[in-house]
Amino acid sequence: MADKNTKIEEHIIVDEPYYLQTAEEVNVAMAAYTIGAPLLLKGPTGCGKTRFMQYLAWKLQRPLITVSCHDDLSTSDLVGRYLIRGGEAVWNDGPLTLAVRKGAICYLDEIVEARKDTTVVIHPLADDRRELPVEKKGELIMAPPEFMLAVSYNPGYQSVLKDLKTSTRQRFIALSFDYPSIEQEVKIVQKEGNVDIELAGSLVKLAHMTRGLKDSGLVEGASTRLLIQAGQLVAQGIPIHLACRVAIVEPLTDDHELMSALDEMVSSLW
Amino acid sequence: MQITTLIKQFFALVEPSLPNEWEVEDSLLPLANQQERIQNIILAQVPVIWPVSNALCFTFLTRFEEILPLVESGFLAEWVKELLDHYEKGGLQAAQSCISRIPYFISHLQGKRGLNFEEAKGRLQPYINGLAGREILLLPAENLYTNTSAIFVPQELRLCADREQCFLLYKFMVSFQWASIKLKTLAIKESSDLAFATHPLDTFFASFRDNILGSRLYHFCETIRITHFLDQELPGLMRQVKTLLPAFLPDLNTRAECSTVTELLQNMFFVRLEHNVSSKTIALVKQWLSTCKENTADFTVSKKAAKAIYPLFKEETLYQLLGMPLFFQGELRLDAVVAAVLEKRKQDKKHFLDAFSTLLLQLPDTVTFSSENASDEPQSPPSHSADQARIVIGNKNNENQPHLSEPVYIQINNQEIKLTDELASLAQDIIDDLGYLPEHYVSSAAGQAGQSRGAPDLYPAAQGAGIIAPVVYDEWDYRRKGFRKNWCVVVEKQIEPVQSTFIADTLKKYRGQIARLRYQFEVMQTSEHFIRRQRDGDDIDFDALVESLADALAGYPPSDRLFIRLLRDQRDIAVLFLVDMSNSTAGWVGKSIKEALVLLSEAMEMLDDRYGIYGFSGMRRLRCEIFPIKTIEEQYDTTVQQKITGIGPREYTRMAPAIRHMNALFADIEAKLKLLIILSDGKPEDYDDYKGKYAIEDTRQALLEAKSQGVHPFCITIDRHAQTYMAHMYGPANYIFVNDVVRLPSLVPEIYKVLTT
Repeated sequence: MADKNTKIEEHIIVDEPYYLQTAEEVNVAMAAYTIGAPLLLKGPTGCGKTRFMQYLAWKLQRPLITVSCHDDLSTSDLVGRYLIRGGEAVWNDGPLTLAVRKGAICYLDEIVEARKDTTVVIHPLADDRRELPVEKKGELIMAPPEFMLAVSYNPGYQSVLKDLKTSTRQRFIALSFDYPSIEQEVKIVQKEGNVDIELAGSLVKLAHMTRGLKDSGLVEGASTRLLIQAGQLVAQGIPIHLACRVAIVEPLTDDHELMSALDEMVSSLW
Repeated sequence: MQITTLIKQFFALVEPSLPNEWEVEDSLLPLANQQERIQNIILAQVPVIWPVSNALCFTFLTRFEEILPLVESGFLAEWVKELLDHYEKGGLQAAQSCISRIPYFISHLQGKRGLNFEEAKGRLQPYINGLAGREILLLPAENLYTNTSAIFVPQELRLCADREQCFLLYKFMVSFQWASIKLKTLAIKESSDLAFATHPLDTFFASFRDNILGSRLYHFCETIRITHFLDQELPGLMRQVKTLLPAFLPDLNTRAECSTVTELLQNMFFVRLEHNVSSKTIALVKQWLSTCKENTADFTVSKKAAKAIYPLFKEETLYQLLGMPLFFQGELRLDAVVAAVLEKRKQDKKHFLDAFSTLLLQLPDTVTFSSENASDEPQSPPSHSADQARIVIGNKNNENQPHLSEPVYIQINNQEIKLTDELASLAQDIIDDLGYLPEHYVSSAAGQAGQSRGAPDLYPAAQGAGIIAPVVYDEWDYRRKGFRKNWCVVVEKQIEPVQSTFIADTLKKYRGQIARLRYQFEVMQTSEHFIRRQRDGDDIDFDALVESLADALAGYPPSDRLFIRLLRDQRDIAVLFLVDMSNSTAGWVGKSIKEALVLLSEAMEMLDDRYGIYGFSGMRRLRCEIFPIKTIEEQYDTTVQQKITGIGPREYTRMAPAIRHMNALFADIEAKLKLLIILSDGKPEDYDDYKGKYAIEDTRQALLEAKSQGVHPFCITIDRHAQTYMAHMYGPANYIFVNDVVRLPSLVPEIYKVLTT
């Protein structure tokens, strides 16, 4: 267990992450933290949900433990399990248990990807009980006031099978995220991508064009994250057409026609 | 070859048809004097064309001399494909015009070709949608123009030989038209009056002595404004266009230094200007044009500019100055704009009425509708203020775009009705267009709702379910290695449920087997099991742990596989059974198939797999019939049982359209594994020429389409012997043949079990 204690320190965010507030979301989240309510972040991929959590953790000066959920994630992966060490069974806390014990923020990214039975373990944590039963150890851990639970999901592309259970949803303060407004997105791309305002503006224009293609077969338009990456590539000396091709066009689709249409947009803009 | 040999060969090629001999001789005459090599190449196309149309085949031969260049250049087969496409779209006449266009076709294929709109559309349509952020349809037409809701693009672009350049021109043309829509060159903003017949610009142009010249001048000013906008908005495109443009505008002064397309165009105008007028006039024109380029300028500035510039010149001079219209400007089709706007208003109104009345109907009865308001149109068009509906505008719940506000409530009889998102955006569209939401829209919707309330439901859900309008599918023609477009018409027909003792008899006859199958299927569904001795898992595997400790004590290397993991297999399977209902299944075969379906359905009830059963038959390509016996959502119940009983031999086996129809059904189904199981009794065959290799190849193609769509086809064929064609048609390991019909009922569920575990 000794090495566990040091681990939590690694989750503390020291430098202020860049985050541009779009509305009242930071105030709401701070208030939710104060009243001990869990957060549900909704929004398309790459629009800043994870960055928001980092910012919040930095602002609250709490460690942030992020778990990316996947369809094989089991309850033990969250809560913990016995491991065999030198012929002895040793209990090993999962990320959720660790966060509860240490009063950290536990952020379950893309929660709907996890199996439904797994998400149920967060129920007692997410209401006013704020407790985590660790069945295998027969232990009930009460969450300290510093602990916060946050989950995120993307209502856009998941199939109906992957909707969040109502009983889970109805425990959260929900914040809806979307791509920032044009001016804000330009600012973000400029700052994070390390490019001039003109290029940032054109990148955002390109993103808006791709987002207009939702009905033409593109599942989702370019996220702010992709724009930032394209900008960073340009800052590294990659020519803009190539940067857009590898950072925006190719990641968005495999469809040949859509790809060439996206290429046409790129060549129109630069 | 002499003419007699040619005729003989021809008859051999078109067997078993027996065409009129003199007709054959007539059409083969031009070919008689040619070298044998050429004769053979031409004759090789006869079996391709003949089955499609005999008349076309004769035309092909009689106009041989025009076709000769194709033989020399080696493009004959390619061209015949196109010829057949034209024939199928537009008949003999279209095919003949295709023959006349051979010289163009050759230069087309040799790279000296322009670009077809159809070729460019795949790239252009999403491009323009992305640009606009909504769908702006690109449609082929004679000339370039827009009606503000769609862009009409010339069918073919032959301005330059290079295809990439042609595409660039296409792209520029549609980008320019998009910009003119965005900048509202043709927008009808001033007239919010619902029934107008003319475009406000018509009145404006009429105010010039020469209205054509007036419109040209206005369009020129707008062109400057639009290109300036494009220079800023799409600099990459405009840079490419700038290098390309001088080739198409001969009197562009390429020597002058121009950094943008706008400057290029202005420059062209001024060069013409300098020969004609005083420097004072030039300065004035320049000033007006730069006003048009200001970022705040809208189309009214261009109107003012046109009004101001017009009197400065004589009309002949002005015609000279403006020159020929530029290829990317397109026509100003005001009538088309008016028609499109009126159509959109009509659609908007209809959608709004439908959506709003539906919303009202869902509300509790407390909302009263006065039928006095129910008249659809007001008797006399009321003034705007009187006809304005009371709406409450509010902030749409959107933190990121707080400036966007949409109507949220509509007041009827002092009650506030909250709008759905869809209605709010519809209302916003109408307000954007007209400037307000007409009260009579609201009252008509209330009227519609009032009338419907309490009225019997006209379309009960059960009625018409499963019956869909005929669907058209392509058919593969292996001879020309291409599709016959829209060739087969598929209709879904209901099968009449039949009450008889068949089901009860079957259940009794196979009761032992059914019980066993149900048990077997139930086991398949169990999807959770523990796997022991894992390196990583939810729990400790104590057996493994004890063993490993013992091993360690005994000095053996202990295993690290000490955990138990719970494995969950999610069966996410959708399966469609496609049953041959052709005439040849009469008798034992049909009965066995039906029994197999009953056994299978009984067993399937133990699984969560979704399944549907469809029968198929038909006669000729225009009547391919599909009989839904159980759709994928339907429960297996008495109706389904009675429908299975109702399965009987019908007509022929045109299998491919049925497979294509299943593919279309699968497209709407979401599942990890999509399985198409076909039960048939032999080769695909239809009353017309659909038989032999043609039918096999078409079926094979349809199955390949299924695979490319992620559907696994599997065919169970009832036949005496395995046939050689089966492996080719279905693909190896994708079929099984059953020679003992009696075994079929128990075999089908077995096969299903094997396939899905």
